[in-house]
Amino acid sequence: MPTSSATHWTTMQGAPGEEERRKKLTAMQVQEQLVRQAQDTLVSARDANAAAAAEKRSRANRSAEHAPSGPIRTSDKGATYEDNGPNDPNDPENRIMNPGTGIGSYAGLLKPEEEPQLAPEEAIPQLFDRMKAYKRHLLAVLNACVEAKPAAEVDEAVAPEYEFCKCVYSPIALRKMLAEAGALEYLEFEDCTANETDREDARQVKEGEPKGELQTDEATGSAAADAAEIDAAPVVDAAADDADDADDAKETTANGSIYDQEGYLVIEEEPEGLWRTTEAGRAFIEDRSPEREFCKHLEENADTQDVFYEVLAFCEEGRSITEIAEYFSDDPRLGAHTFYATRVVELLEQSGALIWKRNWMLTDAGKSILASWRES
Amino acid sequence: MTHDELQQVMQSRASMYGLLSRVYYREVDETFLGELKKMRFPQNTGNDAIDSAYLQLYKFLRKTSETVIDDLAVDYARAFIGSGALDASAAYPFESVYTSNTGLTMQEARDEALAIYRSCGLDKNSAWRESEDHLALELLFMKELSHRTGIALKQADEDEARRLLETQRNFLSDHLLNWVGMFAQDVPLYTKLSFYQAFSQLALAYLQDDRNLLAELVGSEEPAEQSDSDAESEK
Repeated sequence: MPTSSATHWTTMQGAPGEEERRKKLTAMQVQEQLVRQAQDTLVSARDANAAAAAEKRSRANRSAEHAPSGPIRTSDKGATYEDNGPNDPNDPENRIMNPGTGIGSYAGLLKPEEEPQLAPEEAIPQLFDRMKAYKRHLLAVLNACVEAKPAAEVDEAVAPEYEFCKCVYSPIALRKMLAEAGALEYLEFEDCTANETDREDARQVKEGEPKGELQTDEATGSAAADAAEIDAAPVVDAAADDADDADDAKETTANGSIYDQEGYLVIEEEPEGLWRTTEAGRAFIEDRSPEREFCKHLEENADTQDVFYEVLAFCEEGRSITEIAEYFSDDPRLGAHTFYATRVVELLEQSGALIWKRNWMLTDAGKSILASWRES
Repeated sequence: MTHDELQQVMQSRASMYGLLSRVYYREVDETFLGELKKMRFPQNTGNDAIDSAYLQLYKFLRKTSETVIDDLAVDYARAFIGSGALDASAAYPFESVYTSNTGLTMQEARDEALAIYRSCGLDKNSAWRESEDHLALELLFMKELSHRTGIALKQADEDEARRLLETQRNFLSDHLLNWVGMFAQDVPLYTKLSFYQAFSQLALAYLQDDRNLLAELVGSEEPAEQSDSDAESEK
């Protein structure tokens, strides 16, 4: 009915005029609204709890021979407070003004706990498990970076994965996730040169370059000598020395910082670093095999093992999901009591045996699995 | 100081206030980041806090990750808008938040700031949705007055220049320095990157330096010795 749908539209996100209304609110106003809503919700919840607690108390009082009297109450944790006093958790004013203090404080409840930093051996599988739909993208990044590459080349290597599987994460975001998990590392330019050549050689190469370039000597050649470790005092001394030397347009200090002739620090474009898969990342790639994951699914679904192979066989020439679902619709092994064929397709895709390229098709690993099944 | 030197000082002050205002006005974008990277970072200003802040900035800007714009936007949203903070704690860049008993925006300080802007023939652009006591706007006001002072000096209008400098001195001590110290202490609590921490340190140190400069030029509101002795007696 047009009238009712129009009514719904006005309250739905993306409804006509919604964008304009949203734009009118500043970020601060939106934040204030959200905080107010959160506080309202908490206050409502606490009021309900307080009412329930009061009811329980009154029931207990009725049943007790000598009911306790006086304004002092005891909270569940044993702390005492007075009605409407500064510590009364049932006074909404206390909670709104002081979310982080008092018996009724809720700040502690709202603060998300910091997730502990996992070791790469745990973090990498966890990332892949969380990003099931984008495993291929992540693997493409790791495979591309087995040999250190600049960002542009990594992006180029991952680009084909985006053709048939739209990923909401950009290659930059994927690299960041992998780096956070410990599967990927960014090598600064100095680290790259230090890794590739002997440090002495690097210095000889640099001698031929014009002054003002970043130097890769013993102070800057390692990650330990990152700019973050520059001491203020030596820098200032070096700046004063450099300022005296008016002939040089720019000077470099032992820390790799660059000064102009007036002793000001200046930033120069630094050559881009490289992305490289870490040892843990490599171990993960080597350890991971579509065949093994496929076998894992078979073990978990021992009663319907053949269906996995049959779906593979059916997709040999490429099938749409509708065709697969129709083909297996009457299969007694599938259905509400186990799972449907679409679930098999999903598991096969996650293990790397199937891939969608406008139709569901076999990957090389899928073809190999199917061939071994037929031989056996 | 000659008129020319004073003009240069005013120009330099206007630039500095403009830079600081831009930092808090909105998130860093590609253009601004590019401009920052072209900056020259002094190391011998004679003020250790300013030198240290510049060095911190230099270290940060020298090696930025490819996601630096996003990372800085996250820091900005967390620290200055309060995004992601369910307990509503943040370093809100509003004078009212730091100077009112309630810790809310749009309090007395905002009304005062608005009155001062209007007395100078200035008003907030209606496109700017934040209140008038936002740090970016207060710094922008100082920039505008520094610029006007430079023009007055160029026109050899000493009375006007003196009046403008006195207004700046009063605004600095009555408003900006009234709360930026507390704000600068809060910023590191809500930011992960050193960028906004360095800028907050720089802003505070520069404001304090500028107060001394203005006191030299037009005298302080209260004699410095008296203020010091008052402070000692209070202790």
